[in-house]
Amino acid sequence: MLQNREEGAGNLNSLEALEILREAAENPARQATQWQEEHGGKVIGFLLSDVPEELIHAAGFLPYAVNAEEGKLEFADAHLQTWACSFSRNALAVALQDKISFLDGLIIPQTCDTTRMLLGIWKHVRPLPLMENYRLPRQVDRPSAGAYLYGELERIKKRLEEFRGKKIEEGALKNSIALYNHNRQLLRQLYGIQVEAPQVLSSKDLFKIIKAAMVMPREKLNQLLRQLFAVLKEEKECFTRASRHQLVISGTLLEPLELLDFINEKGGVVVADDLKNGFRYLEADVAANGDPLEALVQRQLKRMPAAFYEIREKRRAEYLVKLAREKEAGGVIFLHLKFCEPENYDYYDNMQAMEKAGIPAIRIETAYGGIPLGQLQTRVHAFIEMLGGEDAVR
Amino acid sequence: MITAGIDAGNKTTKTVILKNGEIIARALKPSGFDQEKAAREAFNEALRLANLDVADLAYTVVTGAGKHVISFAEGHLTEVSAAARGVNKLFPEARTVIDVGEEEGFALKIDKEGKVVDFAINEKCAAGTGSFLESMSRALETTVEEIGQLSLRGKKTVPMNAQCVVFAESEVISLIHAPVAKEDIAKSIHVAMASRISALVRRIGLEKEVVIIGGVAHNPGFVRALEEDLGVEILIPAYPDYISALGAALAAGEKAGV
Repeated sequence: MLQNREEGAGNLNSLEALEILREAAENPARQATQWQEEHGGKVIGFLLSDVPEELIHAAGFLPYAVNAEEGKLEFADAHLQTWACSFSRNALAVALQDKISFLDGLIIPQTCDTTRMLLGIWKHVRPLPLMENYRLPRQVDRPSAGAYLYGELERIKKRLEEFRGKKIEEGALKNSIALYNHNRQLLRQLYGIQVEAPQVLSSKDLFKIIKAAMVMPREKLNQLLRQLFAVLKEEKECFTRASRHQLVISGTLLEPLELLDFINEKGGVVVADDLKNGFRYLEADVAANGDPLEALVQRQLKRMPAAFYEIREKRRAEYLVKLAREKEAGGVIFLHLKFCEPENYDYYDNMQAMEKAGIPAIRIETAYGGIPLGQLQTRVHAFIEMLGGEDAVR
Repeated sequence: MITAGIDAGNKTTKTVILKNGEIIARALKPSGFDQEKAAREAFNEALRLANLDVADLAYTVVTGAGKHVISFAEGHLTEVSAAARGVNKLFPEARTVIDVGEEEGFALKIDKEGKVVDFAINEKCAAGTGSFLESMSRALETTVEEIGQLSLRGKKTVPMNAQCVVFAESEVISLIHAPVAKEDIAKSIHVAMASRISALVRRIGLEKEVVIIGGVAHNPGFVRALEEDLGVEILIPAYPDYISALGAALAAGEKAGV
């Protein structure tokens, strides 16, 4: 079955591959329902970020990132306070609108106060056979963090095994890890093309591909990405890299995607980011050797810093300055979701570090559920004009 | 060299014609529903006043909230950069620019060449802008032209908590029924509005000289409240609503000169 699908995909050209990925980003639910029809398997939903999809995949389930874009806030407002972030509110709304009723399970990582409580509400309003919190350690430098996380991953693994009625074999987990490592590598290569030649792969298409990756069966996805990369790599050679305003985006989630159009149309390019639905999703591979659970632990403890994740050895503010310098970025956009308190509390430190380093930065606040795009465009364009001086008129 | 700058604002559309860097004509029209039409009218009016033809212009740049719908302009520039350039031309010593228009208020930090060093824009809220004053004028049964003068006669301020035009209006109505003197309510409204704008200025850091532009700069009550809030004297250009159009015309000159 899998073989046939991969062969089928093999006949596609790069544009068709890109179209399929765009379509998957637009209609994520279709990916899951189609997979269910073909395999009769179970779909385990998860919220961003850092959920070990490799474990879900090794259990034979399809991991599915719940997409908050289609949510209507009025559905969530009856159950969740309006000062919770719009990502959480919209994700719950998507469930309440019965747009993800194909889910057999849900895993919510505890990354903030809202996600700590969300599963409890979800259990009441849309109960599913498997519902778990993934309790991440926050202070990852503590000697106990690794042992704690190992226990937590064992607990999640056991729950998946119970649900499946069968153990997850070590070999299967290692295979899933290899598949996901390969996938991340392909996504990073495409990210590189976007940096080098946004004319060939726009920032918006790149983030759509990442979005598609979060819902698509990995085997099918890797095939499409390989084809796309092979062709785009050739196309990229036809373009000399125009002088562009190189930007780093730091924050929670990229929303709305139009932000990337505003950057590209003003001659900007995203050279790095630390977003949950951006580079954070593809940055950290898992060691192929040894105990696979321990490898998953080590991956988690060594990830890039985030607002919900404290690393004394690698402070986020310093990390971001270093990242901006390494990538020769002219400026940093802090992209915050309204009411995302971990990100907001981090901001002061991050902004101070940028000021000290002489790197211009701007804070832009967005939300799921529609924000005025005209104002967003003015902010982004004005920031790029500020970086670009004389080239401002377009 | 002759260039034109258009500022397609939310309420009014302005055009400035520059000849060798000096203003030779300016015109203003209400933006209305059809911003392209308003821009065309302001543009033609300015050309007529300057006794010029479109063919005489080396380049035209448009700025303002409606800039993307103005099809006949050759270049676009954001309101932020346009304001900075316009102010720098008139006040080279200005380091802080405050622009308060109909729907948008922002604060800029600029250098001696008129380049933007930092900026802050109000967050999708009308509480610090011209439309807020219009709404409050209606509640006080006065006009937007009168409300500033009225506030200068106010003796005291009452705290206003509302951060939103809709809530502020009901708060004002409560004050009317309290009853609080009309001029005191007017003063309180201006103080509340100034605090929204001063928060933007504090975010980027206050540096002298401070210049205010945009339609709300015509309101002496607001300027006074903002001066008291920030503790500085604020400079006002002769035609504060035309400064962004001037900035766009200057940018057009740079573009044509390249």
